[in-house]
Order: sequence, then C-alpha cells, then structure tokens
Amino acid sequence: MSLGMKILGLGLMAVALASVLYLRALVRQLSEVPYLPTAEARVQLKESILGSAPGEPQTISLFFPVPGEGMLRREERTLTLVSAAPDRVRQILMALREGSREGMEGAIPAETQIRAVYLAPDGIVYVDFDQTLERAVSPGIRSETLTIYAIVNTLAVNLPSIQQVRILLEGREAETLAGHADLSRAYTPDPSWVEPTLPNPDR
Amino acid sequence: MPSLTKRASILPLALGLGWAVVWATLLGPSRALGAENFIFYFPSRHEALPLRQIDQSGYLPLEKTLRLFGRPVNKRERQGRVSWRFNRRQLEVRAGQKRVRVGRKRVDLPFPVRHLDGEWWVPISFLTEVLGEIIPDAMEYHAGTRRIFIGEVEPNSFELRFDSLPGGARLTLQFLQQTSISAAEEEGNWILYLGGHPLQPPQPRFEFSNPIIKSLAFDDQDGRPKLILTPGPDQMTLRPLLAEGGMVLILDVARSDPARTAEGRTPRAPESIAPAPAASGGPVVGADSLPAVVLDPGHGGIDSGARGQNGLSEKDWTWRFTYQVRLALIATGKFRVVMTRNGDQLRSLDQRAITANTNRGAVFVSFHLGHTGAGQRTVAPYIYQPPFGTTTARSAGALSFVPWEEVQNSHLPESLRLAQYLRDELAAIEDIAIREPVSAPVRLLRSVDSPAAFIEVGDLSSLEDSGDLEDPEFILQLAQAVVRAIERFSY
Repeated sequence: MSLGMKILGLGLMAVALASVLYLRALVRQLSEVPYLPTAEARVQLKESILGSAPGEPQTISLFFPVPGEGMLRREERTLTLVSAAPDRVRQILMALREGSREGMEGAIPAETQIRAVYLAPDGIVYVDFDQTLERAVSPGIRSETLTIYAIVNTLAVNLPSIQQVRILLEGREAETLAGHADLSRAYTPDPSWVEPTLPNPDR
Repeated sequence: MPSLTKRASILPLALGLGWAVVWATLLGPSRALGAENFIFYFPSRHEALPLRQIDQSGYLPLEKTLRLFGRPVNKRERQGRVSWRFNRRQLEVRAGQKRVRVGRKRVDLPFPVRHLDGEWWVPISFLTEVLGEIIPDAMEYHAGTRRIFIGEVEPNSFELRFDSLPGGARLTLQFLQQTSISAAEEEGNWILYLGGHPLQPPQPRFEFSNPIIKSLAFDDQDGRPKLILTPGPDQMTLRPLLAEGGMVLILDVARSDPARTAEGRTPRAPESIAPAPAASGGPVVGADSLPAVVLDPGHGGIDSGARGQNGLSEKDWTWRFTYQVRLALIATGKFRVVMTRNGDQLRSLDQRAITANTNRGAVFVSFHLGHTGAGQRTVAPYIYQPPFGTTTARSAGALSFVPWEEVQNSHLPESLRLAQYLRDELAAIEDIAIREPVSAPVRLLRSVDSPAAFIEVGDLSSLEDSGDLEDPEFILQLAQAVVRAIERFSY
C-alpha cells in the first residue's frame, strides 16, 4: 500500500471517529431535558426589562420558602416594571423564578418556562407554566403548597388588581401540582403562609 | 436357575435405582432451590426461583428470571458484561454496576448486579424497575416480600384479630376474597392450606405473647399458600370454622379435655371446615358495629410519589407504615379497618375518597412521606383548606345536595380535632420535630365525607434521615402514636 493510500485511510478513520463522537454528543444533547440554570433565568429577566417600555423603578415584594420551615418569607427587590399588565405578571414571576438573594429556598424552579399569562376581567389571572414546574417541584403537600402561595401572594401583593390566581400546566387545568396540592381551583392570597414576624401581604 | 435367582435379586435393586432416578428428576429442581425461594404468581401457574442473599439484599438469577417471562436470545457475554435480546429490546447488565441498559434507556437499580459462580444475579427490584419496562403485564410486588404477582393475578389477603377465651383463644381471619381451607397436622403445628389461590399476608409472621397460641405464620415457599399455626406448649385442640361464605375463618384453640387426650392436638378433619351459615355468630373482624377507620397509604402502582436520595420511595414507605397502623388498630379490637389500596396499586384521589365515603362515619387518615426541608425527622399533620368563599356549613334541610368537591367542608372542625390529637400523640416521640396542624389545599381530602387528616413525614431531602425513616422502631412508635390519637378521637 502506498504512503498516499495510508494517509487517506488514516484520514478517513479520523473522520469516521469524529462523526461517531459528534453523533453521540448530539444524541445525548437531544435526549437530555433542557436545563435552564438560575443565571439563564436572570438573563431572561433582564432581556424582558430591556425589551419593554421603560418605567420608574419600583420596590416589589417576592415570597420564598424559608429553608426547613413550612412558611414563606418576604424579600424586597427593585424592578423597573413595564406598563402592560400581562407583561408585568410575567416580569414579576421571572423575578420570583430568579430565586432568593437572602438564602431562601427557590419558589419556582429556575428551569420552569412561563408559557402564557391571561388576565380575566373578574380579577383572576391565569398563569400557564410548562410541565417542568410539576417535574421539578419536590412532591409533598408542604413544598407544593409553598410553591403555589409564593406565586399567588407575590402576584396579589404587587398587582392589586389581581384577586385570584389560577395555575395551569401546559395549557391545561391540572388536578394537582405534583400529586398533592389542588390545582383545580383559583387561589386567593393567604397571609397565614407568611412568617408572622414579618409584614404579611395585604389583601 | 442360578441365573434366574440372580436376576430376581437384581430386579429389586434395579427398580430401586430407577425409582431413585425418577425421584431425583422430579425433586431435583426444587432441591436446587436452596433455603429461600422467590415465588412468581402468573395467572395460570406459579414458579419458584432460588433467592440468594448478597450483602444483605435479595438477588435473583437473571437468566432464569428472564426465561420465566419469555425467551432471551443472542446472549453475549464479555468483559464483565452480558446482554440479551429480550422481547424486542436489548438488555445489558454489567457486573458491579447498578446501571442497566434497556434498549436506549438506562435504569438504575438500588444495588449492583453481581456475577457469581458463573451466574448473573440481579436485585429483586429488577423485576419492577427493569422487567416492568419490557413486559406488557402489570406487576404487584411489595418490598421485603418473597413473591410477585403478575398480570391479572389478584392476591387474597386478610385481617387478623386475636381474642382471649376462657381456657383458650380465638383467631379470626377476615379475607378479602372467598377462600377454601383444608387442614393437616405436621410436627405439632397445624397447617391450613388456603386453596392454592395466591395470597399476600399483611405480614409474614404474627407472634402472640400468649400460652395458647404461639404464632401464626404464612408460607408459600413450595408455591402452596398456607398458614402455619403453632400452639403453646400444652396439649391443644383446634376447632376451625369457615364462615361468611368463605370470607371469615375462625380458629378456636383450647386446652385439650383430659378425658379426650387421645384426640390431642389433632385438628378436625378438613371436611369439618365446611362453610358455616353467616348467622353462626362469633366476633368477626369488620363487624359493622365497630367504628371504621379508613387508612390511606399515599401513592402506589406507577405513582411512586417522592423518592429519597437512598432510593426510598414514598409508596413503599407509606404501604409499610400504614400496615403497621392497621395491625395496631386491629389489635385494639375497637375498630374495623379499611385500606384504600391493597398492595402496590394505583388508585386515583377520588377512588380513595369513595372508599372512605362507602364506610360512613369513618375516620380517614392519609399517610405521606415528603421533602420537608427540615433536615431531621419531621411530622406535620394537615387538614383540608377549602377555596376562599366556599361555605363550610351543611344546610340542615331534609334534601341538601353537597357538591362533590365541597364534601369535606362541613367536617373541618372535627378534622382539626383529629389533627390536634395526632399532633399531641406524635409529639411524645423523641427526636422528631412536630409541626402544628395546618390547613392546606390537600386535593385528596376535599371529597372525604368524614373527619380527615393528612400526615406528612420527612425529611426525604436528607440522606441520613431517609435511612432513619425506615428504622422499624421509629415506624412502630409512629404507628402506635397514630393509634392512640384515633382511639382518643373515637372513644
């Protein structure tokens, strides 16, 4: 076999090997659930602010589960809210999804996508999350209830026109969040889930 | 003639040898099974395979197991791994690895696959975790047992009650399905054969601290489900009676009448265990006069619930724990106990509520295991929190229709009382954090038409604590506390 043929053979083998490795990586990438870390959630929040009409910076209240406790704690954040109400809901939920800056547990898993927000004239807001919310929340009545009331209390405290919150999963009314907490109802904010030593959400 | 005589002397020897060969052929496989067997109940047959204990975990021979379910082909064994084509899926395991490849999917077993003495061994959970993915039939397996039910097999089970009688004792077994019984005596024990129908006992053995009856054990190691009743040291007589159309078995054990010592410990002939008329009396587990308690082991079937870092699944833990509560409740003799699921079954939330509501006036308690985030053993009782603005009072009119989703509302004060008793009794257990009863939007409870509480035990988030949660002493303490609370509430 000539030297040229040998080089060609080696080259072809290298190409074949590279193709196998690339295909393997591609299959792995496609089979894995897309992961959106907290940093990415933060980027999305900033993009939503930059892409909207500028307004005045406001102090908003977010509610996060206290580690090891069955309660929520209020945490304040300065945010430039946009004018359109559904976009405001989305923006506040993104801030909640970004996570606590004071060491609290996450309220909404960082990889959760907010698919849609609908505002009904009777003061009910419908928030449609993707299936990640169900998959990523720890199953259990405590963790599911805290996730629900973190969302409900946060929206109601910052947007007084909101009376009730209805959580949808993948565009549908689900029976429960992750097997325990009822999702077949609209939720009214409940201050009893907030630490009593700190200011409660107004209703 | 001499040759005839020789032939005559060889003939019995040859017959004996032939007989021995036949017996060895017939009994060979069962002898090879070893001390412990694992029984597979299929709809029309049952099979046994040897169960091997490796590092304190039960292991099954992989290839023999696969052959019970189908025909594994294209076996390839090389460099510490083996693979087959089985049911149109590629199955591959590696020695010392927990990970199993099923087609393109990877499944993690709780314990590694072993390759010992030329045979591949897999932990029992391989059946549900891996085979369940490959074969179309449903499987019912209770962790810690040595049997599995495949396909349409619905195992029988029973509740047990013990009563002391003057000069004797009575065991009452309430079966879930109709049963036929035949009895025999062996080595001082009474053997009660349960008609060959698969059975899942509430626990493998019941011990009694009583001079009349020592124990009642279940055994199906040879594929024949049977109960083994061991009497106390004195001469005893057994009077078995099958009542309620084969649903209730009453076993009266008494010290033998000295005048009839010859009868000794011989149980009555099997034909005497004829079905008795329902009106034959005797205490029956499940008698309608007793207040009902409906126990709900959370999750089941394909719904495993939460999972701990060490592989502990919520559905298995709730089943084991709820059975402890059930046994402790039955032992009081004060309650009729109903379970919302029988084994590893999937039941919807509404099906569970229906079970509660068909036992009117019952107390309902649902048990769960969760990520409480507390990092220590925690117990939290919950009651139902109705949606804002719904009425909690039921109208007193003769005809009052209550929406299905508002059924629990009128029971909330009583549910809170039940939850508070649970909290008080559970608080007496050392080294656990107990939370005050809280109203939460528990979907399960909304349609339960009786006082109802929901108990969440944790913390599954912590690895050490997950191990602690399986501690039998802890489970027993929890169960006893729950029983004390239900007794306080009901009496």
